[in-house]
Amino acid sequence: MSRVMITDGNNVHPADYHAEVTAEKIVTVGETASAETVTASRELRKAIEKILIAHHVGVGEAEQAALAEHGLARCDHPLDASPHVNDEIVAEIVGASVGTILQGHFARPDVQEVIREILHHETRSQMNVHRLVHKEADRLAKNAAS
Amino acid sequence: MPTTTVTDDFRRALLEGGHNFKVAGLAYKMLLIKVTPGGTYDQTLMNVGTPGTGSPSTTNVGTDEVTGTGYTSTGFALTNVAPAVSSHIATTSFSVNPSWTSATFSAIAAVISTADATIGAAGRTVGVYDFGGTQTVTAGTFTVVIPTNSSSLAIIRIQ
Repeated sequence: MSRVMITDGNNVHPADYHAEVTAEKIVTVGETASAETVTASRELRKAIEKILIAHHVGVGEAEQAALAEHGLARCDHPLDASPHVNDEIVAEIVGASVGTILQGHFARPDVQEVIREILHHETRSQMNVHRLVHKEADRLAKNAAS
Repeated sequence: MPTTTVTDDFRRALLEGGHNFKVAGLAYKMLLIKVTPGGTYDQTLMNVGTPGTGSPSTTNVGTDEVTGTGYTSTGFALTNVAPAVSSHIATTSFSVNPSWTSATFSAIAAVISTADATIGAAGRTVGVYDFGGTQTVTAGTFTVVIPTNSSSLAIIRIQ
């Protein structure tokens, strides 16, 4: 089953919605996981979601600022999440696992690489939604004016 | 009810060199399936045919494609990600979640297919992705979340 995000009202998805989805992708639990792991994962997911709200708020504000500066031309800029995805945010996420039974898993370099990839993907996707909404608002405004 | 799966046509076409998910490879698109479709959406779907037109069958999504404000027939153009191998499983994905804005429609599943005929025919299916029920957006933004590109979760995995 594939997950969808739906936000009614001709607007971008809120930052906390993006944070929820990104945290869900970072903390996944296998069907055979123990009850202890499931409980720890649920708590860690909430902690990571809190960290990611600030991240996605920042992404949204930066994209809106770029759209204000460049207008529609911004939609043709590369979808580059690099300015938003750095070692600090990954370390903060990994740090949330310290002291839990998931600490060892999140300490693994390959797991941290997956976290980085998820952050890039969801950040790019958030930036893209901002651009699509801006483009559509511009089209509607031009239609109304003509 | 749709079934999340890669399609049999995709399995066959892979062995015939009929797909290329490299960044500069084939173009792929994701279209959406309406509520209560006439066709069957599982591994038997071979080609999306002429989305929006004609009777639904295994070679044509036809009138089973979503219609509505903010949705353009044939769907969202995907951006390829370089395929990789992890734990002896080949995976690939797409770099951005497909989104539709100012949208009003309902959908129950997505279908990924080729969008050009560089190798073989256009419209050949890759996979069907069930949403687990009716998903409705009203004058809003609808986004399909592409799963993590890992050996156990990637949207396209070859074992």
